[in-house]
Amino acid sequence: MGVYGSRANPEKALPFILQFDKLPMQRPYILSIEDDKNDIALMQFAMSELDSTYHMEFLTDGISATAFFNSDAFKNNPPTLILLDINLPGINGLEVLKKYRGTSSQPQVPVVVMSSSDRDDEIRQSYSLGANSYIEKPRDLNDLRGKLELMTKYWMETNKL
Amino acid sequence: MASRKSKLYPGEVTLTNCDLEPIHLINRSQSHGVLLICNPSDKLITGFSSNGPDLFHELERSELPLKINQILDDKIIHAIFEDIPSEGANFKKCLIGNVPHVVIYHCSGETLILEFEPLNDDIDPVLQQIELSHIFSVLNRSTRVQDMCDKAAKLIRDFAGYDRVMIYKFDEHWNGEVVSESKQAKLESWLGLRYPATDIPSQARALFLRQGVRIISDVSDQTQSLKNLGNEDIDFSLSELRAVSPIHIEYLTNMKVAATMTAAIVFDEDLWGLVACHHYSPRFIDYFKRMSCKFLTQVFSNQLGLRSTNTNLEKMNRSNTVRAKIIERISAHRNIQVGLSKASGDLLSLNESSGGAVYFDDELSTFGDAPDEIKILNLFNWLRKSSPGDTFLTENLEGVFSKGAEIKSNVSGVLCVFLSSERNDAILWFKPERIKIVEWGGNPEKSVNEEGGRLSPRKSFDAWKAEQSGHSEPWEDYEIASAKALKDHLSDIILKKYDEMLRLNKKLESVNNELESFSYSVSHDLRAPLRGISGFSQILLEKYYDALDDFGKSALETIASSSTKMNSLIDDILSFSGLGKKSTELSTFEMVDLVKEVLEYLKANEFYKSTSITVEKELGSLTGDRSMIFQLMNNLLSNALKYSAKQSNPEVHIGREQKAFYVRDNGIGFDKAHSKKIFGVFKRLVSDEYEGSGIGLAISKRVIEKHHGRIWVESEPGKGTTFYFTI
Repeated sequence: MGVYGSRANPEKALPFILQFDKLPMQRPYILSIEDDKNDIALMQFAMSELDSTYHMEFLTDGISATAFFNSDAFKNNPPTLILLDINLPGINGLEVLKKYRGTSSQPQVPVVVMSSSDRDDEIRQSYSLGANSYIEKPRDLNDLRGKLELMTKYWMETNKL
Repeated sequence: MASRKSKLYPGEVTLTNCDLEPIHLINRSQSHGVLLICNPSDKLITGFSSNGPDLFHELERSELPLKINQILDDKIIHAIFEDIPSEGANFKKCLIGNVPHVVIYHCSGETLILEFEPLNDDIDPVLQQIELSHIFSVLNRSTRVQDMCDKAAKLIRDFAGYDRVMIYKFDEHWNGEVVSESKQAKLESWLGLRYPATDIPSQARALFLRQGVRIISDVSDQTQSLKNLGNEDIDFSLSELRAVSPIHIEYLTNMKVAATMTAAIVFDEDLWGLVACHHYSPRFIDYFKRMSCKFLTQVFSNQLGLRSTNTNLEKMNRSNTVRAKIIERISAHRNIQVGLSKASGDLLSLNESSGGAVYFDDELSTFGDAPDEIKILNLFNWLRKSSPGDTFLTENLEGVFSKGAEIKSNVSGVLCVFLSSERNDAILWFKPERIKIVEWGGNPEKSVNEEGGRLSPRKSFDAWKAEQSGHSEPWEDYEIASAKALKDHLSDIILKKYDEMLRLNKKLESVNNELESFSYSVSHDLRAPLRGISGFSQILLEKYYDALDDFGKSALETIASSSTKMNSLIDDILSFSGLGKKSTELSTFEMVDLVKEVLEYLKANEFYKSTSITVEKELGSLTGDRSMIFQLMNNLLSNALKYSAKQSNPEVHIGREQKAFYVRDNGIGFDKAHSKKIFGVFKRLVSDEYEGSGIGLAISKRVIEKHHGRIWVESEPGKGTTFYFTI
């Protein structure tokens, strides 16, 4: 039954959110920067059904994300893929992206911007700031499953090249 | 309005043989008096009516010419020649063979015409004076025109003793109408009857204007020929005894009238009408009584003139009051459209129209008796194109507008004022075809016994009926003036409102932008919790469904389906608010291709298997924003498919009529009354039985607005719906 236990309470899913000083050093992971607890829980759930090689770690605000990108922990064990929300408390996702891509000393990982917005200017801005892809947040579970599966597979394969 | 002043020969009148007849040159005289023709310079009698010898035996014994003193005594000759009038006629009382007579004399060119008539000896001038002053005071007391006409008819009948006295009023084309009548009870009423202008031809009207009062004492009178040595072409216009046209005699005979008296009702030198007296046996009233009648008619005319002016003033005042009320109401509503539509009752009483329409801000509203909207729109479009000024009026719409014939029964008269120089807004008033509102006082065919072979009143009546078809009552000066005044008032208001609106528009624009970004962000914010609801309920459905009891299962299903619904609702709101900002990217594409794509997108073949979908091959191409048009067709087609799906043989047809594309279904349809409402946001006419957000058509309308096109709908409950649009 995976990560949720018997109660589908997103608050209870919080222990799975990344504490970057305690990063699991061995396993490859996908980092999601997302503040919406529902979305986190649902992604966790969907990921748990996928290939167990990958798991997901979460950061819930822009400030800690930026801090993490500048940390040794990130340098030593960068994620395979970063999923970045735009609407984040503190520093918004686009800001985070700009700072991250501007830090050439750190490993540059593919970033997929995931947002519920479909505004042309945000999409364009995301790409110009160095996003590798932009997807609209999936509307339902099956959509989410499909997108996650596709993304992990695609970017994992790409990374191997 | 053209003045009728002194206009006796209007171009409209058909010149019949009657009109051409030189009635003032008829060389015959009536038998109730004797006519002498005299050369005033040598006082020689050069002619006389053939009954002359009855009065003056000398005429039989001597050859013409003879000296005047051979037949008249010197005293009367002296009196006459002392007092020859330069204009009009004079009279002297005299005794001829001991019988009281009056000699009425006037000059016609170089000729002196003397006419002798007997006097009724029972005239008491004092009594007559009393009688006349009574009449005067009665007329003076009455304040309304109709009332006064009725009284005048009654008084003249009492005074002159005719069987029937009619007040006969001319219209602007000289057709006459009996507006008042006093008659013997057994006689058929002719009140309200109308007679064509040719019944009283122009030259007869001219004579009435000159002479004032005339009698025919006996219609069956064979009349007297004139023996005349002198000038052959004497003008007998002012002759009292002059015989009338045989055509007129035939006319009267047809009506079984035996004697008449006619007095002209004149004011402002204008022939307003006639007092027409009919008697069914020969009747002679003497010159003094006739002069009294003339005087009486003059009094009546003056009073009538006064009252008419008063009546016009009253009408104008009433109209002014109504106009003030309309303006007040519009100001109170701060909205011209609403104000005008609420003022429909007042618009009707502003003048004597029977109905009308207001076209303002692309909205049409009607008041009173009006044809259906499409016909008014046709008329209005024609007016906009064809009438150059800010005011248009006609009394004969079908004469100027070919489609006018089909609405002539309620719209033969049109008065239209345009409210702005762009001529988009206007007020129209209608008057019905006049023939419709004529009340026939009796059977107009009844008095025709034998066809006289020539003009008879009833024959001419038929001719008039045809001629008057499609004509309304005329627009009076005050009606036109008050319409123009209303227009001026409204234009002022519109100008003021325009400035106000410019300011308001700017405000609205920013509010609207704020609102749009607000709804945009709200919709997005709604998405997040919705993803939770939808995602978790799906997890429950997949993993825990079996653990729930039946109620739990259905509750869960409801949560899941509600969240799906809410998602599509948010989609629609987003695309609606998004449309406000998007600018159009124009391209030209084949509509057939686009329709096919939409149908594929909707998976019509899969979800609406039993629906017969037909697409016209020749839809042609369209230039517009393809993605927006896709959205438009998507909305129209999904509606058509959805609302026809429950019919036994659902059909959806996509076609084109001239410039308009249309989507037609045979679905549930709706009431015509809703056909504007359905384009509003969240306006749904159906229950939740049919899924939908209520935004689809609002989006469609926006798409059309972005393209400066037009979208409209025709529908009937149970008979399906057709949406049309032009771009």
